[in-house]
Amino acid sequence: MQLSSSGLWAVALALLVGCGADNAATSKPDKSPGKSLVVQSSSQNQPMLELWSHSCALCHVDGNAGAPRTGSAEEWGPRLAKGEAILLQHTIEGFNQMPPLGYCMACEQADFVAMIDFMTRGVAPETIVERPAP
Amino acid sequence: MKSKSRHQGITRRELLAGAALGAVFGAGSVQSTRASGAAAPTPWWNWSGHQHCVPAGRLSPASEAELAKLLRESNGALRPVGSGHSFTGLVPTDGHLLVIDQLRGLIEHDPDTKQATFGAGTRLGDMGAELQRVGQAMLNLPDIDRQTLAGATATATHGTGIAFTCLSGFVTELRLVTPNGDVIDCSASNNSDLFNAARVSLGALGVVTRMTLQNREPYRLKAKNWVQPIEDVLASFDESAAAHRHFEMFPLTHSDYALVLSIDETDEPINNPPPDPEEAAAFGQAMAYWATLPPSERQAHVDELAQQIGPTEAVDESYNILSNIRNNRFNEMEYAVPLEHGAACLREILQTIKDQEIDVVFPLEYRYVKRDDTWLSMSSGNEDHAAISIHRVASEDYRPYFDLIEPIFWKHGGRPHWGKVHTLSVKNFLQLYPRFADFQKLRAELDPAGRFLNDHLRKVFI
Repeated sequence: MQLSSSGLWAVALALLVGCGADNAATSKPDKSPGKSLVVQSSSQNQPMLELWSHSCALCHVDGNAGAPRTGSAEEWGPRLAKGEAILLQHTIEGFNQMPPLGYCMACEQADFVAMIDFMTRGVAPETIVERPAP
Repeated sequence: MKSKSRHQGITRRELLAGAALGAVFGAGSVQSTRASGAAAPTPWWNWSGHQHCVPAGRLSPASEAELAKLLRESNGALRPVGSGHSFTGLVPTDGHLLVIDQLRGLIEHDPDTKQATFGAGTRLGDMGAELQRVGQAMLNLPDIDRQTLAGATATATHGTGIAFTCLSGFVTELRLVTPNGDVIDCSASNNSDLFNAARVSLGALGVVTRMTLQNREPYRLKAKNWVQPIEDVLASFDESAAAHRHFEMFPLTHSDYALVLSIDETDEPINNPPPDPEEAAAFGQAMAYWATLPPSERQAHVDELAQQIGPTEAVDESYNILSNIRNNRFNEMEYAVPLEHGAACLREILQTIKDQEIDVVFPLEYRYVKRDDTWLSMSSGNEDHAAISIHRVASEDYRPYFDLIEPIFWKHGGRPHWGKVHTLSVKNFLQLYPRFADFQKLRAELDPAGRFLNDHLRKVFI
């Protein structure tokens, strides 16, 4: 069989130069100009969302690396079934492809709890929008 | 260093209540706009999960002025953290972590000089689209784009290409807030010694809060990858590196073959399809099978599959081709060796992996990096370097493999990447870097109390 090397890049070099092999076909993030992510919300949530949009949102909007998408009860269900303590532990220590702390170096445990709460039941998909180009 | 202690049994209500208290950080009288809760300290781990600490708290100043005030009015131990991508112990502290995530974004840009100033807490992956909006693009990028600008430059992180220095070489000006809270602007013509030290600082001189980068007009790149015998690639590596904007290879272990990558500018339309999931699955199964075989029995299987692989191409904006997200976590050792030693060093490593039957399927990485004029970049000085990386999946113990290979790097005059695993200490660095003693002196002047030192940096500098 003659193979293209794209598959090898998706697997061997998922280790080195790309997205996760198990979902390589769908996990390339959109980095087009004018599509910065913002979330429409009340001002009460804004500090948490500022942290979220620069950390969890990197994977939990598009489902990058198999991450459960924000607001998807179906995808979060099996995780929630493990209990909040396990979810928090996985968030802080990392789990499978998710890095420890979910890229939020400034976050304390309370921040993670609030962001998990937001992602699992606190947002409707239509509140996540892309910022238009200026 | 690694100690996977479990978090205390704190309820969500307790955590939220703790945050509501807005407790004051322990560093002096300063209260950050992002204050620690009263709950147990939140542990910190690096990206690979190998480096770990339980800091006293986290400080996240909202502005340069707040950062300077914090440093002036406090006296405890601090360690700056970017995005946690360093594999060495640059960050762990029992003092406070200093996070500059709020010092991010494009500050100003000059359309004539094609220079742009960013907050140093900006992630590399957020810069490409932002720059494109103002008619600029970075000259080069490293493979991973999750690092902050501050973290990437502090460790002399680099991309690929004999015509390109590490990212620190693109910096034309920077602002440093020193450990005692002084704010100093520097460039090649203003505080030049500090400029050449602070562009690769290991976060030991204070906090770099903003950087001006030399960029260029936006451009599109075409990446080609193929499989080729390692010896064939090495035989013409210098010519290939000169002929392409970027050229590198990823030698497969227990094999005679490498994945080869060239990247050049193009005007072709964007065409960057995702990998075929069926082929990905087939290769995944093959690699999983290789891992079940004793290392000494793998080569025939790896080489057979490698010979069936055809070339692929992709065209996209420069920042989408040069950098990627790496979801599979690993630990890495990378050394830069003088160019003339590169091929011999790589051959000795690959032969050692075979001879010692090291059970590793993770490919190596071999590329060239241009010399620069910083004091502590691993490519600083009067010669270009070949950068060679070895990797181990994060869940596996990398030490036996890395311990076996590291002396080969030393033998060939290698300098370690500051953010990647190494075991060297101050006596080694004094021999490897002509300006190392100057850096030590400058560091001692700026931070006489050593509040920006941790165990790892004491080994590096003291």
